[in-house]
Amino acid sequence: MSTLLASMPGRRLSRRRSAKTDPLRRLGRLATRLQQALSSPAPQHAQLDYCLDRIVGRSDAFRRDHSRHRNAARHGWPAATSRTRDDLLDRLSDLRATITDAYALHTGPAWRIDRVVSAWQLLEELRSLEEFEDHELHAKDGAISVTTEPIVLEDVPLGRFQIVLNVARLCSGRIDASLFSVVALEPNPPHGDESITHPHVRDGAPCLGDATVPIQTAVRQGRLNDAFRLVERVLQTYNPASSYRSLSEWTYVTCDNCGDGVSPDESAICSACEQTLCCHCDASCQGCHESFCQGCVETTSDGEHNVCSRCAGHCAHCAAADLDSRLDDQDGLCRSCFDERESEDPAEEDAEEASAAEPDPASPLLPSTIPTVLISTPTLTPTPSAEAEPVT
Amino acid sequence: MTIFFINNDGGGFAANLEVADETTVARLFADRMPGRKAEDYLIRVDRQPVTADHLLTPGSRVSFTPTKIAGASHRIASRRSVVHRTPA
Repeated sequence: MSTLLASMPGRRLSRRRSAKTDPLRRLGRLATRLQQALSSPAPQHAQLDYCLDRIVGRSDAFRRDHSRHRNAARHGWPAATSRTRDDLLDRLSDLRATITDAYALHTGPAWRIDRVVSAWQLLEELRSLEEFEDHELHAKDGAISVTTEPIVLEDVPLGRFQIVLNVARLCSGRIDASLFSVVALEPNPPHGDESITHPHVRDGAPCLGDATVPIQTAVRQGRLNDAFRLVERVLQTYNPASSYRSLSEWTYVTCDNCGDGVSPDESAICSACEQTLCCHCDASCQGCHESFCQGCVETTSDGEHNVCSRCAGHCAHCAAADLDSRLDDQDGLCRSCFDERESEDPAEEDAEEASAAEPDPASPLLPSTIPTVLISTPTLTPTPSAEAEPVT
Repeated sequence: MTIFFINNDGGGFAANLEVADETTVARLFADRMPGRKAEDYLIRVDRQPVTADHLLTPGSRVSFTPTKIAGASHRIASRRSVVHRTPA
């Protein structure tokens, strides 16, 4: 009877369908695939191919960033030049790390099998991933993923992360940090760099730091649960000494003028062009005291103050900018021109002063002495004898 | 008795380990992790969190995993720190 059932087309279809849909069978197939990968080291050429791909990929990224940096420098954009220079150095650092990894891989001790893991043990490991809040197994896509709880570091909410183990990469013989990628499910990147979703994650690649070796050991020994748990522990930990971006600067905004980071509380917005400004690039108008960038204000002739277009007037003599209200008080002249005009006509002024101060001999109310220093015109200077003798 | 001991700290390793009968988790931790604090580790037996006085049994799978593991960044740490200047 069973033979008969098995020979029926419908029965075969049913079996095939159940093999595809049965979660346990899927787990079993994945466990078998993992067991084969962990039981035999990848051929040397496969590892070489992988290293070469990584180096070429990073070289391409470096070339792209170099082009962006060159364009920014050529156009004379200081903020963009600074930013692209940072990106360029990051790429260079990545490239160096990749080459170092490749060198270590090919010069270090050969990859050895620490412990022969059975498919049954790996099946148990895969099933144990249920302890994570959420987990997914994509045998076809070659990925195993778990989801962390929402992560908050130093009061900065970073959201949940999906930790993905690339099975295809594992099967190609790669047992290093690149096995895992991290996807931010509710990304909260720092201002100005969306590639960073966590202080230790950039472009989806976690930098595992102290966990690198224990994770490699765990994967080699088939302890997938431990490996995922270690990555999760890294995500739950903040190491300020070596982070892509400090958490204290996570909410910083970038000054559009100089490219520096600045706390939102200490930043300003240009009232004219709405650029974000740090305290050093904030050129407040002396008239209205509103914030402006350097490009939206004019500097007064004395070089000490800034005035916006609404508060600015121009000197009738030299056309220099100054406060409109001040120009009114200075006969339409800026401070420099006004002072210059005042100092240019001393003779006329002195003559006026002298005539006002000349003693009237007919007046008995005049003081007995007049300080001669008040009279600077030579023609009006009294004789030494007169200076010595009091006027009577 | 023999247990399967996993230490996820440092280099990380897993091995079968001979321990005395009626060894507790706290005793094992003190023996294997001298100078460390138990509260800094996620301690599990047979994949389940346990108390310090939990008695180990033959074949127990014991794992010690640090609760905090410092990640890093590939680049030089201080190079790209955002410049923060205080207001003049």
